[in-house]
This record gives sequence, C-alpha cells and structure tokens, in this order.
Amino acid sequence: MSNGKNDKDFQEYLRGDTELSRRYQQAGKLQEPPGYLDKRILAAAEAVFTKQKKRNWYVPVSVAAVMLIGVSLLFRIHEGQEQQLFNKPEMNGMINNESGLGMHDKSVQKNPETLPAAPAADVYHAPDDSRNVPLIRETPEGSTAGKRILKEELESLDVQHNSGERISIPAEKKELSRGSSESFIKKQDKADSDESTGRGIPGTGLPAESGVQSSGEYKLEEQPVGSPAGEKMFEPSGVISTTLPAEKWLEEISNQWNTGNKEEAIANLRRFLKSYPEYSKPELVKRLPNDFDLSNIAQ
Amino acid sequence: MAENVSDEGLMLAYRDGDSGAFDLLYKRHKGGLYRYLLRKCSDHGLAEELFQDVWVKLVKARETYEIRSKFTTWLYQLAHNHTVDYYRKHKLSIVINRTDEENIFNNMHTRAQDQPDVSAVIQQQTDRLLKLLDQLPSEQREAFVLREEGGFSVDEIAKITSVNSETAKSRLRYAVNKLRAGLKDE
Repeated sequence: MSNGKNDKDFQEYLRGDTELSRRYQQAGKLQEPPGYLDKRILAAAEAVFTKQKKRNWYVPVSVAAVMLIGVSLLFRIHEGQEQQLFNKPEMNGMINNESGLGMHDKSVQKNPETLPAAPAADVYHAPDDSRNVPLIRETPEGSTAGKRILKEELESLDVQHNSGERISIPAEKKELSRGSSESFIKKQDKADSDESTGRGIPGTGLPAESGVQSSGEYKLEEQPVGSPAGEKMFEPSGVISTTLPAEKWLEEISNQWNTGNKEEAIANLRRFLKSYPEYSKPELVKRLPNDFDLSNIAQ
Repeated sequence: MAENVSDEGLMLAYRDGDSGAFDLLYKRHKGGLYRYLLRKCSDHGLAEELFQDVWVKLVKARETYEIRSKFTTWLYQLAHNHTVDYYRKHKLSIVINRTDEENIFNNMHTRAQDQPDVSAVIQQQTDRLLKLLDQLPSEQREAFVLREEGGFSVDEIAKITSVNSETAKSRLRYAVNKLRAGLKDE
C-alpha cells in the first residue's frame, strides 16, 4: 500500500509542478557563482578568439613579406649574373656571335673599334679554304668570339690566300709604314725572291724568316708585345730594335748598308755602339761590309 | 544574438567564433551548474574550482563540438566526469555518501519549529530542504539535483551519470520520497 502511494507520488513528481520542486527552486536561487568567476571564465572564452585573430593576421602578412623579399632577391641575383656576363670580355664577343643576346649586335657592329681584344682564342680558320690552315696555335679557352674578331681583322687586311700575291694594308698601317717604305719594299722583294726559291710563303709575299715555318701553314708565332720580331715587322722608321742580339743587329745594319740605306745604317750603328759600348772594333769591322765607313761613326 | 536561440545553436555559434554566444550560454547555465557542483561536493571552494574547470574544458572542446545530444546533457556530463576524475585524482571521497535514514528523520525533528512569520516559515522550509538534501546519499542527491537544476528526464540522468535508466529512476525515486517524508514531518 505504502509502495503504491510512493509510486504515485513519484509519478506526480515526474510530471512536474510539485511542492518539493517549488521549495527547491526557492532555495536554489539564493546560490549563484561569485562574480569574479564570471569575469574570469568569460575572459578566458574571449581570449581564445583574440589569440586566433592575432595569428590570422600575422601568418598571411609574414608569408607575403617573405615571398616579396624572396622574389626581389631572385631578380637581383638574376640581374647581377647578367651584368657579370656582359662585363666578361669573351661575352662581349659572344654578343657579336650567333649564340644569342642579339640585342647588342647593332651597336657593336656600328663601332667595331670598341670591340675588345680577343684574349680567349687566337686561331683563325680561313673560310672556303681547302687548306683551312690554322694561323695561330689554338688556346684551350678559345672561343668563337675570338675567332670572329681575328677574322675581321684579317679580312681587313684582304689576305688573298689562293690567287692574290699581294697584301692590302689598312690605311693606318700604311701610314705607319710610310717612313720605311723603301726598306719594306726591299724586304718584300727579298721575300719574293725567297718564295721563288721555295723559302717564302706562297701567295703572300712574306719572307720565310718572318715567322712562317712551312709553305702549307701561315703561322705567326705568338710573341709578347714589344718582342724583337714584332718590332721588326712593324718598325716604321727603319730603326732596328735595341733588344736584338749584337750579331743579328750588325747583320741588319749590313743589310741596310748594302741596300743603300747608308744613313739609316750609320744611325743604327750609333745606337748599336750605345747599347754595346764594349763591343770590339776588330769584330765590328769584320762583321760590317768592307766599304762601311766607320770614320762617320766617330762624329 | 537572439535570446530564443537554442543552446546548441549558441554553442555552434561560439565554435564558429561568436564569443557573444558563449556569454548567453554561460548566463543560462551558470547557476544550475554551480549548484549541481555545490550539492555534489558540499564545499564552496571546491565547487568554484570545479565550476571554472568545467567551463574552461567547454571552451577547449568547442572546436570539436557537434550536436549529438542536448547541450545541457553534454555540459552536465562534462561536469560529472570532471568531478569523478577530480575525486579519483585526489583520492577523496564525497563527504556524505551514505546517510543513515534515521539520522535524517532525527534532524528533521530537531528542526521542526513553529514560525509566526510566513516568510520566515518559507525560509525555514528552504533551509530544511537543503539540510535534508545534504543528508541524502550522493547518487540520490545527484539524481535529484540533475532533475531540478537541469530538468533532465530519467534517461538523461542515466546518461549523465553513466548508469542504466532503472538505476537512475530508482535513485531519483528514493531521493524524492525521502525529501517528501522529511518535509511532511516538519
């Protein structure tokens, strides 16, 4: 009976609005969490989003900044490399070549004298020449740029390999050689005679002694600037280089005397005696032609 | 944020970054949750600590929140589990986990006094009820408080306290009958 009543009361309680519930609600309203807990919890709940907002702003901005710096650095490096390429002498030659970078072609062609010397390659293979003989020994770092420059220089000389027997000299070099035209002509005549005897370069009129080693090869020996042979080749006034050995020098003076350039021979002998003051006079008389008037030297 | 939005809607809004939704949720449930914890551990200091922990847990869990059950069921389940963990961790036992039925009735008799003023009578009855509540076994007390504070059904109480429905119903029935009996005897 008691259990049945309890069940009925309990079902009534579950349906709600009972005296027990009303009393509990009245008592419960008096108990609330303290205010400081409210503030602390609400602040914690909001702080989560404040941190997230900061991070959201920070990440894309820093990524963008890094990308900007990276891209600008890449451009700088690329530009620097291009500058280095153009500053290299062989690259200047490359500009003139078929290998690209043609944007500078016109300016370079308009001013060929602005072309730098070709340090990388000293070889010229003559085009359309069945012999295709190298003029100068090829250097390991040889490049087509250097070949091209040499080619242009040589083309200006109008070297006629096959049929022409003469060399046309550029105007500047003609001017330089005017002072010694006579000796030059005589040298060429001598070379022609050498050629006829098989000692000169066929078709060039160059004497064998001027650096040519064989008839099938135009070989200009590599020599430092100011070397005896080089000076001798382009000496404009007939003055013999003072760096020649004494015997060779005297031989040249003898040649000058014999070919009629007596004044030049005397002048050169004076220079010789300045360079070799202790050279014995008997030896000097022996090496010079018999008709050489040494009495003029004393003056 | 509208006041008539459901708890679940507010929680989703908070998950998506609306901190105002959390304010509303907190206002709705802070009293009930606080009293639940207070009745459960019978210690104001400990109740405040647990109360704060539960809300911080909720804030942390917002990112993974999905509507699988009523928000209040989830909130009180969180509170229940956290309290159990706390007691396990600190090797404590709930102060009043067994109440002698005779003790309750003795206390009720000693408190029963006639009051001339009506409000004074109500206050006295409220105090009496709370006293009776404190003397209930913790499981029965918890079931009753969950029913009163959260408005949960027997099944929901069973889910929150991780027991089957019959056990939850039995606990609630015992609690209600004892309290009624105690109040009748005033």
